[in-house]
Amino acid sequence: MTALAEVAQLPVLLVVGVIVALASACAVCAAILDVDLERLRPSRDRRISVLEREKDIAAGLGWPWQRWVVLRLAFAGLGLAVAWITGVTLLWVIGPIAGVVGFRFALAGRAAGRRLRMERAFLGQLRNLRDRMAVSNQSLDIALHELGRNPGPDLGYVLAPLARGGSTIANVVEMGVRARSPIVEQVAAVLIWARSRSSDFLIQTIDTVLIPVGEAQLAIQEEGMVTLAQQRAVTFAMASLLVVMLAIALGVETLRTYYQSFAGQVVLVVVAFLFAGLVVFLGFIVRPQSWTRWNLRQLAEEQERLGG
Amino acid sequence: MAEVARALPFALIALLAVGVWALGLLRLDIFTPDDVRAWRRLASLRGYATPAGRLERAAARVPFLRRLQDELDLNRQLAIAGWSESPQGFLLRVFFGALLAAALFLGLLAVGLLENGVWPVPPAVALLVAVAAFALQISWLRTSARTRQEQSEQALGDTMMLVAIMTDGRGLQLEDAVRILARCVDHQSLQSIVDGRGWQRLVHQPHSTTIELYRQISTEFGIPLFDVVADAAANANVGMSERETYTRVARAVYHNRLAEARFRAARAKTLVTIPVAMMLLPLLILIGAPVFATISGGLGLG
Repeated sequence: MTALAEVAQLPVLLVVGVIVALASACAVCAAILDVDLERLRPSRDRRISVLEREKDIAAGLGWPWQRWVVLRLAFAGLGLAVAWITGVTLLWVIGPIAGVVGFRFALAGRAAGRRLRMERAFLGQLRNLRDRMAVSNQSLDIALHELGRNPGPDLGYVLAPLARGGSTIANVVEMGVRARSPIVEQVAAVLIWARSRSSDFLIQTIDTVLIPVGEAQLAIQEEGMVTLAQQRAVTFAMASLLVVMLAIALGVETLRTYYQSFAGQVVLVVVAFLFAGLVVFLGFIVRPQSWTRWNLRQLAEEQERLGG
Repeated sequence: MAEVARALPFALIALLAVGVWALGLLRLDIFTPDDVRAWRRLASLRGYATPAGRLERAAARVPFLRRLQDELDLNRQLAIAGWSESPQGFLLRVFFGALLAAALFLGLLAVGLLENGVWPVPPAVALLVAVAAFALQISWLRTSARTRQEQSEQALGDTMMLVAIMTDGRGLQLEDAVRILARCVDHQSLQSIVDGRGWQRLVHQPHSTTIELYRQISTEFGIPLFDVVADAAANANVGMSERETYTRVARAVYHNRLAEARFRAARAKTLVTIPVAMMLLPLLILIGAPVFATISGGLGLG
């Protein structure tokens, strides 16, 4: 009771009370003025785009989505195991996070590289498609079917739907969805809209639009990849150095005792935050170009709605 | 007399609560006739301006709030970011956030004061916390606005190739083609401007053609590509092939992006040295901290 009375005497509480009252008044007025509270919640767009980015990496690696999730969980488990072996309490938190994020970071470059290779091969097949239509006088549907049957080494999974029978538009949509690549999606979108025009129109479109623009897109991505590769190399080198130093430090009895103490844990937190901050800063400097992604199913529906 | 003085704050709070409740009821149109409510709803659905509420009018009359809104360019920023709040509502929410942050910080300081008998940090720091919270929220709005501008510009650039096909092959109008394609992009930034009639928040001048509308959107929303598309549409209107015109825009967009990517890559090579050099700091801390602790412990500093 005495403590409570003592607290009640504090002028600071009065000040806090007044500030809280003012804040509440502001909140009420803002609520009356139609404050947009919905916006404070992460939007569905953002949630989906986070998930889609993860699926893009899995697809870039040529892995099923489930394997990607299982492996990331395995690396989180590895982080926990390291924490258990070393006995450093803080590693119970940092370990799994480093496992999950580090694994993604380590493989994202490889995924981007594979996707770029696939996109390059795809542009080659687009030239092939154009030649089949212009030189061999094949219709678009037959030419696409032929491409699906001979997709080449990097495009087997992506072009497989074209070899099926049935609706060509549906197969083109499936191709774009499987590729998870802006270049392939762009081409699929053009094929969806230009399919019902004459072959000449499509050949001209491939010649004047799709191939030049696709090559420009590829060049932009290659430019970004070079910078990104440098950034990754630097981060890997520094992260490895940090891990080796920490392993050496934890191998020495006195240093391990220090890092098991409260002060040592604080130092570890500071080091982890500093490193993560610098990696994020590096990411800001060499941010790769992002591309518009198409919802091909919706595009096909719109095309259908306007008369196929 | 002392009893009355003690009860006075409670009475004031009660009065305030009742006043807010009454204002809320007024604002919720409880006392507004049904037909007036229906007309207002219809007007807002059709995008016409609806009369401002009493509180909004009062807030608009306060010189300080008005000046702050003008300085921060809130109306434009909110419209570009696609946030549906009014500038007054947003400002009040920002004040709420800032005051709450200051109150929480002061509360934590009070706990520290109670534990140790001295202030952990001077209480004036709470003011800085409030200012920081205020600035953060404003910067969040500006970042959202910039992101939406960039996303819209990028999506518009990427639609040009398809617009060329749709206008030439299908005979669609530019505005319709852009609107259809905006619906098929995986985010809603462009759609909310051209399809959701989001442009009405900033474009108030009358327009008779798509070209005029796009020019106004470009100026008001700060998306220069709309101006380029408007120029292309003007060229197409005087007889140039639509496909060639819009294809040229698409190619120009990609060439610009390529040039920008090259510039960024070249700049990054220099800038990257800063964080790389700073990455030595965590290493130094990792090695240096136990050594420093041992030395300071040995000297009796720890």
